[in-house]
Amino acid sequence: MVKLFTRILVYNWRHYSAAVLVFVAFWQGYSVFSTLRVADDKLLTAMRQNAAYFEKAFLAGDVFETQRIMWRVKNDNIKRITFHPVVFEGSRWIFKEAVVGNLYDRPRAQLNRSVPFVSNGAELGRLEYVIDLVDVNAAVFAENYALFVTVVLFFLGLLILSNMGALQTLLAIERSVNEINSITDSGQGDIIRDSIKKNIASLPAGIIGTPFAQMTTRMSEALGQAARLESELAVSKAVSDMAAQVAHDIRSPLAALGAAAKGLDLPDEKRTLIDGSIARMQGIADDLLRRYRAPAAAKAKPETCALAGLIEQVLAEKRIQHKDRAGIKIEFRSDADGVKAAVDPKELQRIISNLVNNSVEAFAGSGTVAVRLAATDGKVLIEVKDDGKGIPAEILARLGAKGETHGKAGGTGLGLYHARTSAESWGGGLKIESAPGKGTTVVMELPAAAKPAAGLRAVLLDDDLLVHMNWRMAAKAAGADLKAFKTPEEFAAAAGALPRDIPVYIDSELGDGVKGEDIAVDLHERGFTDLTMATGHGAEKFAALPWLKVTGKEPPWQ
Amino acid sequence: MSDREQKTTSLIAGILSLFLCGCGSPGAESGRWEVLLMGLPEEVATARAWETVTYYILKQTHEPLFRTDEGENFHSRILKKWEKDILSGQYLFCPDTDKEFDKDHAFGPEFFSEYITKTTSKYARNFSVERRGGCFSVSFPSPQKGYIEFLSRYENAPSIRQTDKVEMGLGEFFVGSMGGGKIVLRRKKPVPNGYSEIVLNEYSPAKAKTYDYGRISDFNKIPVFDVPREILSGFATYNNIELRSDVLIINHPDAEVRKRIYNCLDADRFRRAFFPQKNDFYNISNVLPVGVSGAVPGLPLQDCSALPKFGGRSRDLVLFNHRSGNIEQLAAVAEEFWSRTGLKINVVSRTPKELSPFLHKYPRPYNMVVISLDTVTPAYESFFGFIVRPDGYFNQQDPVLKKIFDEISRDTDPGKRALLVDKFLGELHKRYLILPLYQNVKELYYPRRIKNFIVGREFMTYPEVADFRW
Repeated sequence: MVKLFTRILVYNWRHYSAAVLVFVAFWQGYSVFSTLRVADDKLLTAMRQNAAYFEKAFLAGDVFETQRIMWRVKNDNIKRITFHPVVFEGSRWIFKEAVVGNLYDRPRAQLNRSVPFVSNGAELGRLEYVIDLVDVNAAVFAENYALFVTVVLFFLGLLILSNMGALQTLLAIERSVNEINSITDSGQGDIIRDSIKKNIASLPAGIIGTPFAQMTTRMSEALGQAARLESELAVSKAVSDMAAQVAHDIRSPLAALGAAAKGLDLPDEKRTLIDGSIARMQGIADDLLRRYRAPAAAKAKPETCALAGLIEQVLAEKRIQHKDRAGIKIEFRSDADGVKAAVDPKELQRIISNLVNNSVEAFAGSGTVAVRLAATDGKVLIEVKDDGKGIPAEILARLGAKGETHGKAGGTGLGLYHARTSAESWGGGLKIESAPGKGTTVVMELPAAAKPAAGLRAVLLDDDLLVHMNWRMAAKAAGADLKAFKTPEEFAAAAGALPRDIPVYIDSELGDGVKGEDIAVDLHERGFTDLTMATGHGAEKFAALPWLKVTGKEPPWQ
Repeated sequence: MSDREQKTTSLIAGILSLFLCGCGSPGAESGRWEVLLMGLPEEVATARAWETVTYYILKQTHEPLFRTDEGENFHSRILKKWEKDILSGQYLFCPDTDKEFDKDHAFGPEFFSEYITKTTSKYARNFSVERRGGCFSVSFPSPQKGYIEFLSRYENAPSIRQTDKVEMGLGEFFVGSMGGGKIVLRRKKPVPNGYSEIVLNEYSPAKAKTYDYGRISDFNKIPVFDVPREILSGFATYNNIELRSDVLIINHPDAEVRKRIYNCLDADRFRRAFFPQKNDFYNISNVLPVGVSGAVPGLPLQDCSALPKFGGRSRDLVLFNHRSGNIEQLAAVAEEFWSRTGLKINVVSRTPKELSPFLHKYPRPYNMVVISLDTVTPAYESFFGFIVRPDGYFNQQDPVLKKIFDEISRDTDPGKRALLVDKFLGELHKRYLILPLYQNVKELYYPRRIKNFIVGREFMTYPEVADFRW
């Protein structure tokens, strides 16, 4: 209760003080005014009552008696009386004036009044009297003191009683908020909503339905959604951790598979397929690891790529992948050779792969998937068209949303969603046109990139021929000069003729246990100044070599 | 502190300092009341209350048993309770035993018993005092309406001997030191914003120019024309009804000599010669100043023409002169007087201090001296008492006058008193003991800062310094 009273006072002391002061000032002013009126009246009455005696003493020149009468006339609220007698012949009164009272003057705080002193029709003189407002105020305040104390206490009681209900409500709200805070701090966000609902129900009836209660309800919903998102995030992180773990763990078997495949005697077509697939899987693993380690960085960096080469590469895989399906044709037509766009090449290839897969998987029997690359008005169009069964309009409208799938057993609905979001993140968009029985056309529109500056050069040391192929194509598109070496021996033989400032890109895993960073150290000692590890490993692996740059497998030209 | 807060604080401090500074007027040194008086007494005793300077001191050091409020009702500051019967034959007094003279002398029942018995014996022969617990009952065989007024006089105030020359009373102050031309009174218990010390300085007109008037709070008991104008301008002033008559005492054993002095020494000429700086003289024809019932304005009736020159044996008349700068004028008056009467006036100049020891003791070596009669109490005793008392201003006391005076003192009936006063004045005139010179109506000056300077009550020429606050 004391706490409640204290809170009431703390919140309201200004208004309370103002109210008390206003009352005190008003009552004091009124009392002073009344006192002044009474003082005047008492003086005039006393003058009338004593006039005859005063006249007798005045005419006799009896100073003592006139003084005594003046004291009777004066009352406590009159500070001073001065009698100015009339002058007449034969007067025994030899003094200019007679004064009784306090002579101390407060010129700015006193009232001076003058009245004639008349006795039985004869004016004896003038009576001047002074009322000191400071003295009167002090006397009146002393008289009213008990009243003021009572009023202070009365107002205090009124203040407490009138604010009790409001403050109890406030305290109930505070208790609710404290409970919510403690639940949040303890991480039990899932029960916040229930807690808020329970607390709202316990508030006074007048609060229910008020904007405050509505706000609290919305807050509870927001908190509930936040708790859900947090839970989803936790799941997403768990998945991400698992994906990273898988990516990390799969690299060794992939490396082993790649090494094993090298030793096999396979037709070129199959070798290309296997090498490409292994490289793709390695790339996917690298990509996963990269995203896991620096998700913002991994996502945020599209690079200018020659699109035709990328598309050709992935379509080649698709053809091989689906070659066992009779009647399936996968065609590619490039109406814009050399056109480039700022994309994430892996992501683009994944998208193309998914789109083609979608088309093929939508074929009941045979069918043709035509992929076309075109450029117009600064835009690049990648069109994937099939002559499959088509998509109903009501489903077409929802495609591209996360989780929305059609006609694909085991479909997650993520492919088109990622395609749309990726295209949009690159500054473009995704359109899907389809009608039942008339096939489906998916068009990705991207802004075309400017032609890169020519004359760039670099050296690549990597045992992966697929990487070589990529880099060569990028260099060609960029008009750059690239020297690519497969083994350290080949590179060492040519290193002597290389300028020392030429950018050198080295893979970390060069086969036969050779580490690319060891080569880099050797080159650094030999005076090469621009050394970069082109690897899927993170930069922290090479932290001991501060002069060594680290990048991914993508060509450097933009 | 922000700029605005600093300015506000400075403004408030400035306003407060204006209120608190006192802005005192000159002479009102903090805590000390300095006063200039003519002729400091050698003894401070209630028996000498009729002396003006002694009365001034007693007003600070003593508290009479009763006081009048505005001259009508009596009240007491040192009695817890008092009563009387309707016929004023029986009185009951209960002393306030919390009062004390000093820490060694309380105002207790034992003291009060002795005091009331001794004091009442001065008032009446027949009375009885009976103790009733902490109170004392005084009974008279017949009504005594003047008894309370008698007890309200300072000469009857409770008093004890402090030293052989000084008495202590129940007032706020006590005599701290005497000597060296000053008397210092000290406050028994200090109070805030009140005077803690009173210094009474001996004033001599011959040294008027040497005094540091800037330190003085009260110079109303010296001629105001001796005070520099620039000092006066720093004080507040008001026109005081000062009931004071200046008279020429004629102290000669021979009635014929006295008659010639009274009738042949021109009052107006003499007063102008004696006070050459003064211009305004209010005329009085008897010893009472106008304002006291019985006074008659106008010059005294003098008729020298019917009187032959004095043929008897007489030494030179000695006129004690306590003023300065008036020798030539007095010599001229003496010359004229001699030519009229054959009596020679020898003007003897003495300072008030030198004069004081001679005034009240037999034989008084002067025949004429000018004195001021102040109303120490609003009663006839101030104007008549000195004539009939042995320690007055005369070598002889007239028994007829004494008898009438005693009757005046006892009778409280205003009508009867008025008749007795007329009778006294008539007898006084016949004896030519006093030549009335003038009445003084003066401006009084007081320090501006005193907030409770109440006038119209017991005459502010004898202020009670203990009550002042600033």
